Amino acid sequence: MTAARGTAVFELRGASARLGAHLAVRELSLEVRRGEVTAILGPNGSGKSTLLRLLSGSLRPTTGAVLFEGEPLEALAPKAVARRVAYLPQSPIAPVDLTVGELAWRGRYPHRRWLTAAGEADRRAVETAMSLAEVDELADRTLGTLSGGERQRAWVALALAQEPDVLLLDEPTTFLDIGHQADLLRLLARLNRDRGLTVVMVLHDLSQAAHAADRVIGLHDGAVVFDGAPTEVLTAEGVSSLFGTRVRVMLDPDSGRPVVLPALDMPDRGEASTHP
Amino acid sequence: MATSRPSPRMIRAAPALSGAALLLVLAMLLAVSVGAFLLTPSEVLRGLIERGDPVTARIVHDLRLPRVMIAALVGANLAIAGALLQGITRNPLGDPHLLGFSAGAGLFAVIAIDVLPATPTAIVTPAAFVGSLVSAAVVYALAWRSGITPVRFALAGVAVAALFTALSTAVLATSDRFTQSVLAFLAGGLYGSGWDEVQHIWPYTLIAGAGAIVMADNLNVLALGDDVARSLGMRVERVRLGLVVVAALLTGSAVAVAGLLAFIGLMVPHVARLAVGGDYRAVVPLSALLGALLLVLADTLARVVIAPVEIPVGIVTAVLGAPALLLLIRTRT
Repeated sequence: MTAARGTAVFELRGASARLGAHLAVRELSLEVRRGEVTAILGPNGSGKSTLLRLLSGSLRPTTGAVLFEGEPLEALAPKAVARRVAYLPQSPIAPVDLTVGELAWRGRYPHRRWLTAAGEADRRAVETAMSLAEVDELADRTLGTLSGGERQRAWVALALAQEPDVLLLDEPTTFLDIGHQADLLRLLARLNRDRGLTVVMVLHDLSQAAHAADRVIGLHDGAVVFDGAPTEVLTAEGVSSLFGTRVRVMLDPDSGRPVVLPALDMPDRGEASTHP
Repeated sequence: MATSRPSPRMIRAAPALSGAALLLVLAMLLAVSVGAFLLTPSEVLRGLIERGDPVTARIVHDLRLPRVMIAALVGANLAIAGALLQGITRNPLGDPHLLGFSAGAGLFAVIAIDVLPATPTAIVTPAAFVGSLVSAAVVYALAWRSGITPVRFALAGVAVAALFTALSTAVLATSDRFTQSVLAFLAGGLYGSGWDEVQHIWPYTLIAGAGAIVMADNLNVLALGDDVARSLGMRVERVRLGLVVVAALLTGSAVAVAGLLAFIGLMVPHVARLAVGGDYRAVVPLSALLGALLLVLADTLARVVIAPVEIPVGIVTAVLGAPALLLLIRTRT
């Protein structure tokens, strides 16, 4: 990592993205800073995944620009970008007969040169990625035989095998149980601290975002509603207006970070003992 | 640890590849030996180097050898094209026949025969070749909407196949010029193939086949979806167009010399995948060998099953292919 923490890795300049007739992201201008963990929040269909796809280069902005380290993303060599930025979509597809080891090896594609065999550096990167993602025991298992959580970790191994310094993750915790959710978020925090890995992820769980991220961005209808440190922006009013539903926000006594609960207003069901 | 091996499937694929190559050589020797005259292995070998009895040498060298080579080349071309199209469409039904690549060849061949009845074979071959490229281009253009998606490509292919087949039938039904040779072309056959046909196809097999093998690793990445492939640094549209062109060249040259052969492109890649798994770097070369093997054996059967009359080899591949495919579906899922 050459540049210092806090400088802009990505910059969106009035970027809009159209999916069919629908304007999914509207003239968005924001920066993603190096070494930060950013969480993108918002209701379904608010443009979170589209924003991530814009950053990954898998979608080009209809108008405006996406800059990576000051250069327009589409002007850069795709493989050069892929050696720096890894992207994991929400529900990636893969042949069921692919093994976990083979999937992780695909992460070396941007590092490979035309018609050259894999080298020691490739081997080491894949091994490290698989052990970080805790899938080394699953190396020879095919994806079709894995649980949802194991498969998700196999994809994380692919992304890490790219040896990126920016990781873009679309709802990485969705298919994981609570233990593996915590493992993944801890792994990201560790890579962020030790290697300065920049992380941008879409999260559904607001409390998770509050704990895992340095910065949270709230999107609604393709536009930014709030953007700041979790303790500043994840207030009851902010979250309630973003999602159009009442929530309660309290602070975790240990971390001091917000915990968000839906205000369910459940009808009074009386005592449990009324059931025979 | 298992993870340290660079490409475990390639190591696992080595026995399958060498086994298939050996079987192919044996099948070709068998195919040269079998026919109206049954030749001994030593007669075959002496015939190959044009020694010994001149009549035997002529049978081996001028009649049977080119035909066996054509069968091998056509089988390899169709099987590679099938593997590529299955990879491009991410669909197990990817096949030059089902996706309309062959239907265009058929249509152009039928039109050529109808318009220019005097010179059938000389015109039919290039017409079929052009038709195959045209239908590939039409499928690609129909599927294009600021990019190709595998599903649109597959659906466009099926539509073009149906349309071009219907047009062929329309030309056939309204024409009074049709001969045995048209029927043989539509059913797929290698009757009368000689060194001329070998000359027509081997450069395509060599160049497009080599291109397919070199590009095979891209199919592995493409299999992870367009978004992931792009994020891994692949220029997805460019690679996909390249693969479509290679598949069209392979199909066009195969159809031009052998007519419409169903099932090889569809079935062989599945068999290859059963043997070596999903890595296209192994699937593509193994498909080539198995496709060649299958068509050499099928053509031998077509020559001898009701000898001295031949049946079109396309009928043999369909009769063998349909149940084999059903068996594959039942055992795999």
